Amino acid sequence: MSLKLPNKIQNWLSQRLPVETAEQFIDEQTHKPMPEATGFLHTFGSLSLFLFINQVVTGILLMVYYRPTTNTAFESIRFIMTKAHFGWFIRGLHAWGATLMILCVLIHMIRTFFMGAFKKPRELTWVLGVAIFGCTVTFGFTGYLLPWNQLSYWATTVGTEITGAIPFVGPYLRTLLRGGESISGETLARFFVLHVVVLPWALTALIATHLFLMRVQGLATMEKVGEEKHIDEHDAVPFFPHHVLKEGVILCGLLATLITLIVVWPVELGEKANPLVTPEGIKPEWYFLSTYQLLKYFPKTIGLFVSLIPQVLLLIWPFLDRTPERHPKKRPISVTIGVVALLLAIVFGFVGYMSESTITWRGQRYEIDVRGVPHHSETKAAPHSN
Amino acid sequence: MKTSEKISRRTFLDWLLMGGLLAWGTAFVAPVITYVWPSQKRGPNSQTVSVGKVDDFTEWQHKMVALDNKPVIVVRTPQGFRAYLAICTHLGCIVGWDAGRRQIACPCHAGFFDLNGRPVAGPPPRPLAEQTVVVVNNEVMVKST
Amino acid sequence: MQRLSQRWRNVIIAGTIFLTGLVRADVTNEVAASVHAELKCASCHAGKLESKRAIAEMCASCHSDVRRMNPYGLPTDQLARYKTSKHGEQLFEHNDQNVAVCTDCHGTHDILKVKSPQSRAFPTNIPATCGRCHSDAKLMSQYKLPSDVVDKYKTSHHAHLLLEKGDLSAPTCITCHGNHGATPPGTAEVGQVCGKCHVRQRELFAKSPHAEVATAGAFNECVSCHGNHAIQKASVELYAKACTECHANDPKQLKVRDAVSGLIRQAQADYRHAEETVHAATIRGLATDDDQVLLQDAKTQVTQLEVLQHTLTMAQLEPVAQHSGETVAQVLTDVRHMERFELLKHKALWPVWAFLVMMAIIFWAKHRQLEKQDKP
Repeated sequence: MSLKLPNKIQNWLSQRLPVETAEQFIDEQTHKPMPEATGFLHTFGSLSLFLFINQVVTGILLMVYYRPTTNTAFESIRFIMTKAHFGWFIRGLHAWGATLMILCVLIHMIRTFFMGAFKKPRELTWVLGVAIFGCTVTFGFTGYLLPWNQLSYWATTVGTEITGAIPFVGPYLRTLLRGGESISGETLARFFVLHVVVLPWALTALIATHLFLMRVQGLATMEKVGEEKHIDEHDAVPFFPHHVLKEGVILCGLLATLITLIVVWPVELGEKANPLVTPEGIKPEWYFLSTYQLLKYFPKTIGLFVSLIPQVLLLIWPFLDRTPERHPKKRPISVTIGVVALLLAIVFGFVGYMSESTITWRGQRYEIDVRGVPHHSETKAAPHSN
Repeated sequence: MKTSEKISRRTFLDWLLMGGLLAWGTAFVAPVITYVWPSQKRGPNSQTVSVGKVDDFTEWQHKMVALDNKPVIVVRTPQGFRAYLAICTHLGCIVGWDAGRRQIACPCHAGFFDLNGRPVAGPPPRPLAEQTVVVVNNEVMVKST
Repeated sequence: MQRLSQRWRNVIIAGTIFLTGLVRADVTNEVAASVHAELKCASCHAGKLESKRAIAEMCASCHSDVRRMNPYGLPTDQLARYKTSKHGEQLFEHNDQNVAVCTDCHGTHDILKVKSPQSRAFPTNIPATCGRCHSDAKLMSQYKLPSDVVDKYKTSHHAHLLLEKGDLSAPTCITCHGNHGATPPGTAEVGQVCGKCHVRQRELFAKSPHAEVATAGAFNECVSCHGNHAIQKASVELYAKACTECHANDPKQLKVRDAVSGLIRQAQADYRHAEETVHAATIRGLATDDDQVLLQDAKTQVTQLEVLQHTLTMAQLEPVAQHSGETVAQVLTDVRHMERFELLKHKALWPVWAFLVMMAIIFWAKHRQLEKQDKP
């Protein structure tokens, strides 16, 4: 499919711009042959990209009414939720879109890890991908503060507190991050700038480079490093329209999920941030839960370094796992490490989720402490009346 | 794209595809336009409300309005308009106008406030919060402070 | 020899004066910091102050003098009032040296203005000042007076306001018992004392069936229900204790009690329920602006009920309760309406899903069609 412009416009343009080259480039990119094995698991990258576009569009729309000051932030979100038509929907798309985006980026990473797609010559694409993941999570962290409600205020207080544990520079870094000693209007302003100016451009640049590398190197297949078969034009699947249609199917599923989440579990407005009242059981968003729980088992500084280990490992993994094999069955050690790491993340995340809460199990009440250890609680369960 | 015959043939499926995508696009654009279109006269942070025309008030007449979800009492005095947050500083009852005493009165515990919002009788510990009144083009506007 | 002894006498006198000055330096400092800094020692110590009566009369020598007190804007009737007080009666009629005179409450050399927070007569210090004698069980037993009044007061809501919240307008001992003319308030006076602050309650009580009984002296108008020194913040719970004191075997009156308390309880519970509902809806992000204004209105009515019940007349209470009930009902209807609209969103999911499933099928069908075209 080439761009069909009326001849007059085409002529006018081609006298001024390299239309031929551009057409050729677009044609090449849209018809880029993809390996036959490109399946549904390969769509999570593009889903992440789609969700990023969703974040940009809904983010711009939210910014129409959002005001980043302590006196107006919460009120403007309330306006979006209650007065602006479809405001609840657009905020829902943004908030749930963020969660799904992190999920899609994670699944995309997990697939890349187990299919060995990060191996030579795609190490740099992987490193960029890890950076994209970091950027996405930072987006989540900065965006969480912006509604300026109790949860966002206190989760950010706890979150920025961790930076203070870094030896020597920690307290300075924390002050820099918060724009003062505690979370205030200054923090809101700088998180807003990070969230709507710095991070979007950084992520755009990272994604562009990531996509460029992906296009230059082509998609990885399951063959060993150095033994990749050349893609046969006849067996290959063209990116457009074949693969795009497949992605369309997945996109429908994603949209259905997204809209269902928005309607059935609407994003709350919450109570306006109050620096004088700490709500009970403040927990970070789910993607920080495992790290948050891990930090509890160690003294501050040591915990910080322990929690950095998985992140550093992730970043340099292609330079550690350098065997030529890609198929998971032929890489038992790295696959085991991957599975164990995943399970640990899930277990820590779950314990973090359950910590500091009370559950009833088989008619017995248990209070789960900060470290996730359940304690049997006696009959003091009866709610005291006033 | 093997033969020109197949390309030119607009199948039922293609029509469906095009129609579906068009509907999809509309379904996206329509809410966006209604969202961006201002839903009220003033933006989200308007803390100003109109109480009516100056002529609607005779001297010593009062009116209650809701401003930022809270009741506000507006009184026309010979010295001009006065507006106070109509929530008693004692236990939070809504105060009203006592025409006989020409004072703002709380019905709950007989608290009285003068026209400067200061408590003059009864239990209220603090003055009422004063709101700014602006008269523009014969229209009385109250602004929260 | 005589000259020598004369000289020694002079030395001894001079030394005594000097040493007295050294030893009583604290006194001179105290006086310097007090309101009486301008006075000389002899202004008060000219005569012997061997009895409390002498003290009262010495103070009054200036403080009853209108000409002298006028520049300071001070009243001059303190001694006259004091003589009408129980303290004064004991002192002037029975020469009882245990009673409090001026110096016991205001200090001696260190007298400060009553407005000064360090003054023993400053509101927050009053309970301790009175308690110096009135908490002394041995001393009080001589007069057959209870010694737990100050301790009781300290548990009261008034003391909470005064000592913890720093509300200087909260009543202390002297607000009810008087200061210079201190006497215990009688049955008839209590209402006047309490009603000074609780104006509306007193007004309404005057319309209640108890008002007549109180005038007859059989009912201690506020105290009978609310108590005195250890007075607590009133709540509906008070009906359970207070009414049965007199009406324990009086089912007809207890019925009135149950009607009144039931009405208030219901209104309070309804309001709390509406408040919680609106709070939850606000947190969810529903537009509750109008309901918050309505809630404020309902709160006003419920608070009014709590005061109006002093009439103990259902006819007074019912219209207000009905109004608050209607307001609360409207709030609940509003919220329910919004919730129903939220559920409508759930129903709207079906067509959205249908559309997306249809699109997915179309995409998939097109994909299959293209694959077939590629491999004829």
